[in-house]
Amino acid sequence: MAAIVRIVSDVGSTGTTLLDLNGHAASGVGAYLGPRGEVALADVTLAERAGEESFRWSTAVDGGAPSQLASRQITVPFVLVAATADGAAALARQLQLLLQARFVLKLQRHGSTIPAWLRCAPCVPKMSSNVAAAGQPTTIITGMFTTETEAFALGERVDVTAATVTQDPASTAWVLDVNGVTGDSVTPLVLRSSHANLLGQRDRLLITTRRRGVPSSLTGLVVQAEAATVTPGTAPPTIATFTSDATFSGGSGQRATYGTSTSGPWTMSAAFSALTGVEVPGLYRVLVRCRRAGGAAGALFSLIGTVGAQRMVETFTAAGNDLRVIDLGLVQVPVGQPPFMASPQTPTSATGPTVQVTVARAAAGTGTFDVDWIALIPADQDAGMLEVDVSGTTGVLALDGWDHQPRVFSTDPYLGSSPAALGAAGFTYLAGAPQVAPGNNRLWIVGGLGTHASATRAVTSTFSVAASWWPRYRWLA
Amino acid sequence: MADARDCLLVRFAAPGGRNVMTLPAPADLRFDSEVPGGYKSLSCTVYVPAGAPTPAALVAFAEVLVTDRRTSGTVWCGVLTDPGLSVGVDGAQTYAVTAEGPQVRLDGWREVYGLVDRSSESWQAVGEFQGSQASIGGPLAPPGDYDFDLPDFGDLLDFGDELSVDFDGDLFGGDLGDFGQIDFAGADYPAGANYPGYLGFLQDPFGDIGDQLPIPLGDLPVDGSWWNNWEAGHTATGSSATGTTTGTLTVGAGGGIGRHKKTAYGGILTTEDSTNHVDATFRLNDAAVKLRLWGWTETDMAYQGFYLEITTSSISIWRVDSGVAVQLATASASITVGVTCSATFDLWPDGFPVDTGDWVLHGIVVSGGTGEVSYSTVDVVPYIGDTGRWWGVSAAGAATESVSFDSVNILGLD
Repeated sequence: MAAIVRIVSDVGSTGTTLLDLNGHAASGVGAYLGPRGEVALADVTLAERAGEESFRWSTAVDGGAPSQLASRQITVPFVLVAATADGAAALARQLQLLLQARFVLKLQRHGSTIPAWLRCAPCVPKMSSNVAAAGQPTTIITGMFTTETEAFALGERVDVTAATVTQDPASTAWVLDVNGVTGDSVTPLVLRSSHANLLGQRDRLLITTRRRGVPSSLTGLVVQAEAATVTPGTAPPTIATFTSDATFSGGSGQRATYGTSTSGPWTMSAAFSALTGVEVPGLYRVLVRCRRAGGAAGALFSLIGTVGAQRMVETFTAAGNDLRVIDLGLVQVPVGQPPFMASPQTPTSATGPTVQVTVARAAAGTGTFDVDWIALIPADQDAGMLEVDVSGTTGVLALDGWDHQPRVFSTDPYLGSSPAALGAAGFTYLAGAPQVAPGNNRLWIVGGLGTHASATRAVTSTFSVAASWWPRYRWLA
Repeated sequence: MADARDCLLVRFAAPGGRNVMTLPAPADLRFDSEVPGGYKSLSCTVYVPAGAPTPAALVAFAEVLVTDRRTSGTVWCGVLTDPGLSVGVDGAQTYAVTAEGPQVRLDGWREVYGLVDRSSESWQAVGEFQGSQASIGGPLAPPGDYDFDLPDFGDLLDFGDELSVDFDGDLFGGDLGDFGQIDFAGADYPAGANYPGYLGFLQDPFGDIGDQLPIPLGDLPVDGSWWNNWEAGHTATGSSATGTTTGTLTVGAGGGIGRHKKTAYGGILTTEDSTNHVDATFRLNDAAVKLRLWGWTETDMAYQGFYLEITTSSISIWRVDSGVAVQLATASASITVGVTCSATFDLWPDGFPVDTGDWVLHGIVVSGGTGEVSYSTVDVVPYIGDTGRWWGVSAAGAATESVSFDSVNILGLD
């Protein structure tokens, strides 16, 4: 199959051809690629960095990945052939018009079956025509254009069928797998959902990504509170496990019952012994799901997380809801610094740490404080927080990984017949929206972090999430 | 993403939060922090190609947030001060953005400005008010006025411990004889100059309801106001809450306390003369509140005296000796919450009108309800007959419970 070089209306197969730069009309009239030796499709440069760095090998997380690409430039030689001089001028005019604004170039190398699209900046083509002889019309124009493009070429959009994300870690929870990603570079993801439990419910959701290694092998991220070891402090509350509570994962948890003279601190120790292997090294966020009730409802608590020598403190604020997931912060696994060595072989695996969580009450009082689970959620590739500060929103939420913005549409922006942008007031996304890498990727979507009085995420809550991505290429196959 | 700068995102959110722009960290992104104060300044350059829409997020006062996209951690935050927009000949927009963090407030922050109208054309700042000061340093050397202006610590109900003012580590332990007046809520105690060197305590006579409330009442305020004598921590309300015996006595923090600021008649208090016993018309506003009518007490009522206690279901006579209250007699009563009642607490000779030498304490709900109680073997010697005894009323119970009075009298005197 001949190479395809076309200016088209849009990325993807839905784009229509505006000018075929390698047409092969039987009449011989049209546009053709110029000398192949002048074609340059992947003149890529890395982002400029200050200073020179000596080569250093590292097995640390993402240590081998190159920097982001800064720019790309392509050069396309062409020949415009017409039957008449006016026809040649018309071809030249058409090309000039198309190159005066941003345009999309569809490319497919000879013999390849995979098209790619480049979004290009406006440029001015160089064109010339030689007058063969006096009185002979000029019907052939040769030339080339060089233009800046996005750093990556794009492939056809791939839609990931909607999957159900659960929130009960009694079984595999929070997980959305995006497998079989193609291309040769990391690419942003667009998450889409019309589920009322997601965009219609006031809450805060942590969305993180693991895209290296075999993400599905990363298991053992949760320890149920009832399996934790309890150590009472001074004048502690009465601490016991409880069962048959549908609000909690597996129906059970750890309960502290306070009295005015027994409101001291107490500590749980959760051993993440099932978290082991080569996938484990990395950064994690420590999450704790807990609930206060009775005389403790609306009371101020502090949670102190201790992992090795690291100590983290977060408050269960007095204001807001009484059932929430507390984010204690980041821990490095294995505890300490990443295990770098300059020698040819370095440590590559790790075992989960023991996480201690101390519950301290600000003022003595009665009531109960329950803990459901303690979790380590990967947070070292892409992690962000989706804040839904309104309730009852309907439509389709699209978290656009290309600019990290949540948007709401009347219907699915890709699959719907007439999607209209609705106001997205109350929707906020902070930090990194998910990107996926060629191969297999896993996302964790953890709800219940919201603190608004009406933000309550049931453990049985589920929501349906779809995704879309575009392969990104540095090299055009 | 080997380079840390590939991991940073800069997020601009215009006031209102609807116009948001997030982009990878520009190559010239610079931000810093300083101790004390934290995040200080940020600068970067944002290029917008010709023909692209003007980003509505790049405006003054937009929130600027630098986050680590890997961990979702916040690296820097502040407020955009200048978008620094310039437009090239080709129409490309260049934003040389500067932002400042909360650290800059350490230098430039002013809480309050005073403005006076100097002319019809302009207002002019004339200075700044000093912030309140919550401590006093160095020795207090009277004479002189010292403004000990504590910040508003809100409702006293929130106190978990005693409220005290610590002078030299010892509560009022020093020599305060030279103090002139102490200002509580705009009223000076005592009214007369030269503090007598004594600071009294108002306390629950039973010692079992709550914490003591130290109050600066060493001597009697002599201002002619009956209701002005209610203790701190209580609220006297009503259209004529001052200077009359009409109003509401609300139980404050620490439980029940009382007031007794009327000198008794200089003689035996009996109904014989129909002039000198306690009489009140009142309403119990809560089912658990206790009304106490006091008679024949020392000025420090907590330590000795008699009182009649009236609740919705009982009427009883108590005697207080050295701060210990003992119930002498009790009977059932029936009073409805909110219904106006009247009651008296008096003393007469046993066998009245034949005086046998003993005395009978007698309390009765005269109207609006029922209840009557007597106690006949009173050792009256320490408590009656002397000029300088006192009578009054108090309320006891939980905070916010109250008793309303239409009148409180010592017959013949009010």
